[in-house]
Amino acid sequence: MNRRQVIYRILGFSAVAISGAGFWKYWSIYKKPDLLYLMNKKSLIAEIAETIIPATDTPGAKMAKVEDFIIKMVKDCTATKSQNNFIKGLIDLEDYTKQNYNKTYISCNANERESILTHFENAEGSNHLIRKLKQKIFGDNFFDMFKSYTVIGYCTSEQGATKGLSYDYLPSTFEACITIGNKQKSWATK
Amino acid sequence: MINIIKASASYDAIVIGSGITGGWAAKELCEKGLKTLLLERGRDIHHIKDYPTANLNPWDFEYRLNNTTQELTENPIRSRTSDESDRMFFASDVDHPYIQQKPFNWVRGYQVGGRSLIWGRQCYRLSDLDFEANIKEGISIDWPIRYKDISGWYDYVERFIGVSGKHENLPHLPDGCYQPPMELNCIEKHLASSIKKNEEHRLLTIARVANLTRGWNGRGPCQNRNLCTRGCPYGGYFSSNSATIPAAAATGNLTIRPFSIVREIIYDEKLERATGVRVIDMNTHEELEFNSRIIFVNASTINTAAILLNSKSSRFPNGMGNDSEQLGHNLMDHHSSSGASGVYDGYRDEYYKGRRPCGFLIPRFRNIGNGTQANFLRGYNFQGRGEREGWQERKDSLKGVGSKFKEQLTKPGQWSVWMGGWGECLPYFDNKIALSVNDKDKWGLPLVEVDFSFRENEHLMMEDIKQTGASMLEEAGFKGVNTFSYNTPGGSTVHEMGTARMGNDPKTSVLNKYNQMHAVKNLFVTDGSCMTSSACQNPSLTYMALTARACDYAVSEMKKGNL
Repeated sequence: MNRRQVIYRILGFSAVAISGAGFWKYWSIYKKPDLLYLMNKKSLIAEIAETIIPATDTPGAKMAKVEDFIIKMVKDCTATKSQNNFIKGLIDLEDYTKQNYNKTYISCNANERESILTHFENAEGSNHLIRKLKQKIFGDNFFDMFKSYTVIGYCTSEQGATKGLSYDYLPSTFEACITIGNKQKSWATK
Repeated sequence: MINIIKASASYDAIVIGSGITGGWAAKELCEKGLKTLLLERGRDIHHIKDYPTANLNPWDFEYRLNNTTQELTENPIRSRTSDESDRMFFASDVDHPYIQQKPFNWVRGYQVGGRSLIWGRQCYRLSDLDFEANIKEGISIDWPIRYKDISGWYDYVERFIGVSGKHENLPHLPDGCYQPPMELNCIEKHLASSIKKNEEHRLLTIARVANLTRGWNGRGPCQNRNLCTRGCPYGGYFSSNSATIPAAAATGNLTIRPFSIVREIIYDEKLERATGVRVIDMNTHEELEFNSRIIFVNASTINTAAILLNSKSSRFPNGMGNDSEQLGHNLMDHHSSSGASGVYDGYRDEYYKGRRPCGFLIPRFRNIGNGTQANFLRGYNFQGRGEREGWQERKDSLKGVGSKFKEQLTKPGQWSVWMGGWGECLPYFDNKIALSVNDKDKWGLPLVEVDFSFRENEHLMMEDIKQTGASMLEEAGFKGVNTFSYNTPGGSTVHEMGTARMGNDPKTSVLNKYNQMHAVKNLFVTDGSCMTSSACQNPSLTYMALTARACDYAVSEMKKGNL
């Protein structure tokens, strides 16, 4: 079986899975997303982002107000299917936290929070091909989106770019090869 | 029919389009004393004053340079190549529809300066390897010029626009008049020395670009911000706005009329001349007529062909100057969607400072002499860049969360090189544009239909690009070498050309060797539509040189009383 056949085979199974799950599944990914829900979860979003990029000797996601950017991205720059995945992912995360820790995400300590996010990061499986196919059919997955938006939001913010990274507003000259030390931050912009 | 306003003023010359060649035509004609009207379909853009985003930080943009789903849906072509920071210089798909017989990305810049504001700035000369290719291989028709006809004009253009680059003494990629080159970084130097050692016919050099490494004609130098497409307040790169239009205006001979969509060129059967142009005002939809002794058409390849096709008369029922039936045909665009990338473990203590606005070039090495023959015609060059991976690459690949993740994310990553092959596209008669019979835009002009595809020769070349790119990286010790073929449709390289080609024979070409229309002597076409073959070099420098040459010829013919 060559690579293409494998892909068709997987797609075939997925098609069966979709029709099996029936209309509800279809509706759940194409329905109009509840964007108001996002606004209500702003503090949760801020805490998850802060777990991904915490304040250390440099500012973290919260100081960079990454939650505002994430909400904006989900509202205006994300396809419907993926918007629904994002909202469903937040709900799943809250449920998972409740079931396993018997409290809210915000009341969890730093270690617990990292474990929860690691669970969601690993939940998608590591097979790259299957991951990509799933995204094609069902839209981007919750945690990948969350992490990606967090990084973009942080690294393009004033706090993140100028303090978390190195920001060179007006380089003037180009120095092709410079020697750097251990503390060198990467450039915020290309 | 709306009233046609006869404009009272008459001009010595009309130039249609203010992009990279229209700006040159205006400058040359004005400097030679001709009262020149420069028509531009879009709005006016003044150098510096009209670059609203030029000095903004990433966090100053609402979406941090991401496109919204609305923008992606409504403007699928514009959003491919632009974002919040430079969208104002790309034409909207909604306002300016066209018909794709096959997928074709037509990227347009409808403003004074056109796409010279947003071009890639690469400046490479063609050589006789390119000018002789068609006749030697029996493809299409012969170019009516050779390198000696244009080399002095390349000098002339390079000396005005300012090009930084390195002399390499290659016969097939002639050296020009350069400012000091930009510099290769560690990984690029590493790859260059590996290629030099392992590959007899190849070399890697810094890109030759119209970014200034020294102050030049009151502009620059480049500040290494790499924000060129927003317009440069330092005049660090060449554009019509920063250089040719101000030079033209300084003569006192220039009139610019923005918001002027050219409907057609008027032909006088008795005089056997083009006497002027009919224009629709973009805002008022009024029609106006302007007259002149000579006309330069520089509306960009597809629009130039569309204007000429729409200029019908009993002498030219199929479009002005279209006795050969070649007008609109032979559309070409370079392909640049395949290549290779890899990462390099090493040079961990090395980095760079500043954002160099260009990458490197591996000049063409296929089919140029013994031992370089391939299973396709012509060739390609590699354009690429080396850098240390940043958060942009690693946001989706770096596992984990928390302070360790943050530390890794904010440190310079591995060195990487990406390089793509920019390949020649042969002229095929049935790659073409035509005017729609039924569909019109909001100004009542027929929509353009584009029918274009790459063929076997281009696909064979793409395969070779992947394999050859990968093997050069592997030889240099790169890891995780990956080949790619994005399979982007025609137009994606934004090098469309060939729809009103030059040639010696009026039966098979539209223009003569001076870019003068065979059948209408006072009409010149000097944008990309004049190209008889595409070569694989980025073409704008050649268009500019041909424009300056054609202006010189036109004015000398006027003085002799021939025009």
